[in-house]
Amino acid sequence: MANRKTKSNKSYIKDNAELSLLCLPSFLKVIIFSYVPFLWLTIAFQNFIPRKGIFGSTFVGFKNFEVLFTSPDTMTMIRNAIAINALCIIFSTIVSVLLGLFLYEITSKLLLKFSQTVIIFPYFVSWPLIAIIVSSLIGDQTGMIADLYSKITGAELNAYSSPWVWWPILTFLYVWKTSGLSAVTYYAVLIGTDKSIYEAAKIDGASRFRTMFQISLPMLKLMIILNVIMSCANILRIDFNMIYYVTQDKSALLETTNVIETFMYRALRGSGASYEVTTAIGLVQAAVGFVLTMIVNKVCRKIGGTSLF
Amino acid sequence: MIKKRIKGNYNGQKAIVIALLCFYMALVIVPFVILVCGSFSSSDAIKDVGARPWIQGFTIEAYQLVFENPYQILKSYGITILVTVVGTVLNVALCSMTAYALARPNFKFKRILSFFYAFTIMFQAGFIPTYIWYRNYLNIYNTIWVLILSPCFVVGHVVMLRAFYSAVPKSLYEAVKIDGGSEFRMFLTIATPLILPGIATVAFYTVLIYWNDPFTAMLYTDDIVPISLYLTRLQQYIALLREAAAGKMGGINPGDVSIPENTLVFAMAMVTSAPIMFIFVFFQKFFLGGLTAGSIKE
Repeated sequence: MANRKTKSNKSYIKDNAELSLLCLPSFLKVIIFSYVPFLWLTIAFQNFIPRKGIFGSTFVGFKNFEVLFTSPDTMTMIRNAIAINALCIIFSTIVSVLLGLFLYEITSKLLLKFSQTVIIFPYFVSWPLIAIIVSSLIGDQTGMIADLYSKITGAELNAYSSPWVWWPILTFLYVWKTSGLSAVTYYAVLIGTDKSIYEAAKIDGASRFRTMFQISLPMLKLMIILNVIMSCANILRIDFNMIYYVTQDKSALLETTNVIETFMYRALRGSGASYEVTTAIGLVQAAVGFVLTMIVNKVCRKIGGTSLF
Repeated sequence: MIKKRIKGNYNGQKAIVIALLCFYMALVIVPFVILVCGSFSSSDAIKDVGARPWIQGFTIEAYQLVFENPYQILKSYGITILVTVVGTVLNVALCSMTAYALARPNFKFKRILSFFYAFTIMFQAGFIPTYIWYRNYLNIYNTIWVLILSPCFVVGHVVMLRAFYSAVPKSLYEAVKIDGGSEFRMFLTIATPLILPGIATVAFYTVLIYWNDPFTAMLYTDDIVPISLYLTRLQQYIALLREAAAGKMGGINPGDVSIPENTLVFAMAMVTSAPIMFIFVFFQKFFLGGLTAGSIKE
């Protein structure tokens, strides 16, 4: 008995040593590339002089944050991020769930395969390429969408100089790019469910729409809720590539398209705010992201039994 | 009679569903048709009429110009292929090793390490601290390494693979244990071959991340230009050329500029994304399989 115990203990230690070794490369990578940069977050509390580095620069307390929160730009950036993210979450959820339900109704194998392949395709296309297509559609008056717009409304569409058209455009593009892929994951949940309930409903004379919305949709409910909650954790974060390339970094559009990521990029290129203020807003963004993710994780564990970590 | 009416209703609603799906598919396809047709159209026609989903005055002048001076394109292509291949191998290796360990119930550091990795998605240092660290201390600014290492190890992929590894039957682990097999052997010869669809899915996502990433190069290099950044630069350059032709250079008629400026970007976009489209067509079946399998197990 004692012998067996020491033996299993030995193998437990050996297993754990091996498993730790498997994690070692990624552990080092994450330390070097993600954790060490945290040191330079102290810039947010300093009057930073690049030549002297963080150890030579003087601390100024929360002065940079005061500058940050008295600047009107900050509120605009936060508003833009929340608005664009909220629109993207709402519309991509609606569209992807509908597409998932539609896919489930398709019985023809060929059409099913073809439609899945088509709708996930935009996910694999880069934002710069999408930006090129967009600018050919609305860039000048001959563009297909611009032409259509002027025919319908009689007014010219000057998209690259009118900031307020960009929330709808970016939302549309985001939905167009990502909802096909999420639709397929919703569809995958549906094909994993019990078929007998559908047969029962069919015998009872339920219409197709009725089965879609009263049987299929409730089966997806949990997954939809979890997805929405998880996206809410990133409400202040936006894909830099989407904003930067699609709006072509036009300064005329900053009123609605200036977000923290593009603000940081301009600071880095020396055409924006100071390093200190930019790092400060980065720190605020990270802190908000952290708190929201912790809350989201708790909520998801409670209602869905799943969590990120 | 009633039954017939219900049946008709049933099929009618199916027709509506198919029609809506086809409409969405058209929304997806038409922009790409515009891109392809635009790249084969004559520049003047595009200028007068605008890009449309049909070919206007077939010509390959745009492609000829793209390949007229192939040195820079080939160099960018080489950089992108190198970064994508090395990066994908590295990312898949790191993610699967980590995911395997985190999926093992007997791993002591499972919880703390999960949090350690997840923390990097929740809390990021931002561009400026990262830039200063890369450039002034780590000395990987403007090297090929920053393009390979910076996007490497995606925590989301670890979460995905962990679900796959967790679905491997417990009895297999026990059988290997009884035979005196180590965790390494279990990982390499038993668990990983079983979850190849998951590995393929992650590899596919990773190829995409590296191929479509102009951002890392834009931020952390000066003169290493992968193909995605090359495309963006070309677009900006042509936009500048147009502005110059339209405004500041006054007397010059934009038509006098000798390059097919309206179609060149389309052709270049086609050239940069052709490999991704090729990979997509060949691997989408595999990919869709892995995608659906993974989500059922989760």
